[in-house]
Amino acid sequence: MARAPKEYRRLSGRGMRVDGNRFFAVSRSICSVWEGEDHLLLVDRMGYTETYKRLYFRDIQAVMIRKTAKAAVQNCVMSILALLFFLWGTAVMNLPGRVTLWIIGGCFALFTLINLLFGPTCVTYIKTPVQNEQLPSLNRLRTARKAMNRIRPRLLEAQGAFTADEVKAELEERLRRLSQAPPAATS
Amino acid sequence: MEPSPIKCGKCQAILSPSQFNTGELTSCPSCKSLVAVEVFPAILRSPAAAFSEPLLVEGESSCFYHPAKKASIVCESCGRFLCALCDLELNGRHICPVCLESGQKKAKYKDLENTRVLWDRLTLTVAVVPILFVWTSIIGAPVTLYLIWRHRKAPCSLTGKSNLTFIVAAVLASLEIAGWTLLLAFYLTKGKI
Repeated sequence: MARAPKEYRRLSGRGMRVDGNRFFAVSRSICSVWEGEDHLLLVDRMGYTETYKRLYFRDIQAVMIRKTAKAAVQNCVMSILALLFFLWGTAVMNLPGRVTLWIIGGCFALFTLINLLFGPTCVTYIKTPVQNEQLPSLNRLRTARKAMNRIRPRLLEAQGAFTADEVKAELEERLRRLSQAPPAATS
Repeated sequence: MEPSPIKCGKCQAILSPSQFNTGELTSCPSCKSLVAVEVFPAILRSPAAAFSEPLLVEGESSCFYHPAKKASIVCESCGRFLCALCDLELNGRHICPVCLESGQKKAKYKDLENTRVLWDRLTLTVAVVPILFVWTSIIGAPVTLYLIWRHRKAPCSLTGKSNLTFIVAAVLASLEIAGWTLLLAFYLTKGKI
């Protein structure tokens, strides 16, 4: 018997949405994005509750990816810590202490390496007529680009008529017209 | 109507259309953050204009909720006549606001669901965590079975339909109960001997 096709297919990536300020998190939820038949499903899981948000392909106006320095900062901090632990381990005379410190340093070095392999970080937003939704799961440049390559055809299929380049040209034309238009009379 | 501008996610400065759909990261003119923007045809679409609804003429059917307005469609759920204002389209079905509200309460329309409790994961936790403290599983196992029975028809996550978690939790809880029963029987028979 053939299995029914899955209703949602997961877009790669997983991230954390933190509500609160920089120092104190009110809530944390694990986020993921799923591709549905005619919409993207944003899933926020907090404990044993899932919250869903749907972004329909026909409503998505733009996707913005902004590169951040988070990965670079993490790599700097972790490589400094790795180096410090290696130096400290070298300075320690007894063997068990030295090995322990080297293992800790090695862990930091491994985290740095893994972080390097994942690539640069980014923040991804989706713009619709009424909101600017952040997608915490698309937090790596490579993941975001991969997800975009997957949903782009779906978006263009749902919205039709123009290609992405034609939209850009049209926007530029509108902006040009707007700048040439005489200013409105004030009372 | 002009499309709403696209702003930088960091400094909120308006980005120039020349930065769109280049396929590469470009600098924000204000904060110099590297951004890649891809725009789609929906940005050129103007919002649906409000339309004036036709008033009722004698001999025509009226909307159930607005007797002065002409009915344009029938609710596919309750069969009431609806005007264009009361007509709500959901997955190609036309329904009235009352049916929509009651359907949402009964979780009839999956597209309107925005929260789900993951009872399957919760029962698995209740089955597994007490094992770590050994004695607590005496309470944990029956509670797991009760939760499974109580929420056996509750839907799982929207993104995965498998009931495997429920099954694993039930098997674990049953094994725990069987283990405790055997242990109790062993001590009782040993005591008798």
